[in-house]
Amino acid sequence: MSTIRADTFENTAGGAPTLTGLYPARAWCFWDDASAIQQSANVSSLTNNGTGDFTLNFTNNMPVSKYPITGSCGAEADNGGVYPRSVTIDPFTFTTSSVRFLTVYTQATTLTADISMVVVHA
Amino acid sequence: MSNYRVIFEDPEQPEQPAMVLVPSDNWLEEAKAGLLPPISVYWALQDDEQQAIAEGRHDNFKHDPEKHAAQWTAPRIGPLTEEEAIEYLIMKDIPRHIWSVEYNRPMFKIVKTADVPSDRQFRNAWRLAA
Repeated sequence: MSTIRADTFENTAGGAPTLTGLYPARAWCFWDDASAIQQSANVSSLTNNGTGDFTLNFTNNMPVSKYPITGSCGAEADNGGVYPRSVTIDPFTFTTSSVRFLTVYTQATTLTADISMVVVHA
Repeated sequence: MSNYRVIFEDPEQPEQPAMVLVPSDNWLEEAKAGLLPPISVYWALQDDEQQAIAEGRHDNFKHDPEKHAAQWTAPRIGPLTEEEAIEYLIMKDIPRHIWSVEYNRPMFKIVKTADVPSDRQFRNAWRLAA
């Protein structure tokens, strides 16, 4: 077995490397109900656009304009069954530098969750 | 945690409530350590993407590899103070038409984090005070 010790991986142009057979996340973010970012990677900022409506801005742009995102959200206390249950992406808001999404209670209702998180692959 | 937030409105979306930009602590640390590229690197990428949108080819858009790599390879601009980093972030993450055009009232304000209500009641009615 070999051990690789290095501080930085980059491709020959100095950019993000392609790791053959590996598909790590390009960005992720975890924030609270006041939109304070608790943990993140490759995220420069989070914009709170309104109730349950967020835009994630990336430190380094994605290489392509469409990429997969997964997310989840929830509440610490069950407020009578009223709490956001899913993260919904607006397909018209993808750019390489940011993406907008909603934390949703029902189809037409957005709510701010106690905790929300998304992970981006590209 | 950052001492600042940026409140802004988009004149192109008058029904949209005031938005709150929250800086990432990790990004702020990079800014203070002098690890950011010139803002022009991001603007060049934005320009290319906007052109692709205007020409209807955004669905399959892919950045020019050299321009994309410039995010890592361009000479770093050196350490910034937190205030300078917030100004940089505005020019990077807030749409350009909001901060580069003069309107008949301010469209954004940098405020102390403590001045932003933590209570989200009536969140969709928030407006930027004149």
